[in-house]
Amino acid sequence: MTDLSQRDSRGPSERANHRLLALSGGIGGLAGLALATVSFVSTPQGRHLDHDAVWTSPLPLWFAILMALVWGVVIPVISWRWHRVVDEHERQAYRDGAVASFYTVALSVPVWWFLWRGGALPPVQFEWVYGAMLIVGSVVWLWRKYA
Amino acid sequence: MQEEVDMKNRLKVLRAERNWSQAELAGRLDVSRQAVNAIETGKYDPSLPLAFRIGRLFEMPIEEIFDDEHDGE
Repeated sequence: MTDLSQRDSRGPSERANHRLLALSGGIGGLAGLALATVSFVSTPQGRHLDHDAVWTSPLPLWFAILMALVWGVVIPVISWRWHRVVDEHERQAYRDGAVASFYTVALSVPVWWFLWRGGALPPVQFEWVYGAMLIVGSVVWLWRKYA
Repeated sequence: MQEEVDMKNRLKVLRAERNWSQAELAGRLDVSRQAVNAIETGKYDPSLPLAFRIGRLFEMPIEEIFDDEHDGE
């Protein structure tokens, strides 16, 4: 039975939901900071570190493997656990966001690809598509949850 | 063709009768406060298992809480 005598009236699922989101955010923040730091340290002296370098400069193998393990193992485990604890309203909101993400990729890539073939745009860059997918999915998820 | 059903419910009234906040009701149902708000405002229809949990919490049959405005014909 849910104990509501404490000041925090959230149920166990909601507490677990918030814990896992905080954990994901913390790992994402640390990974981003580490990526920026390693990119900066790995840049040869004398070469200007522009914003593209964070995304495209070579990384030390150990760091690339570490990041791949975080994204390929740790984040999926946290995501699986999150999907197990989240309530049905948020699950629906997340699915709406996932559908919007799918269409963002499914439609934007061919549009960009056709325009590239016509000479109007550079080749499709996955960083932009990936970023757009995450942003659209997150906006729709939050809109469906809070609006 | 399937018709979109406009579901009404008495959740807000039942909650107010017990002086519960949305957060308190959410805690008792183990869902988020946003879920309670979405159900109360008709933006989200709960699943059958959650509807049964709501019915048990208020000690009422589901059809006394939720109404699909079907006239029975």
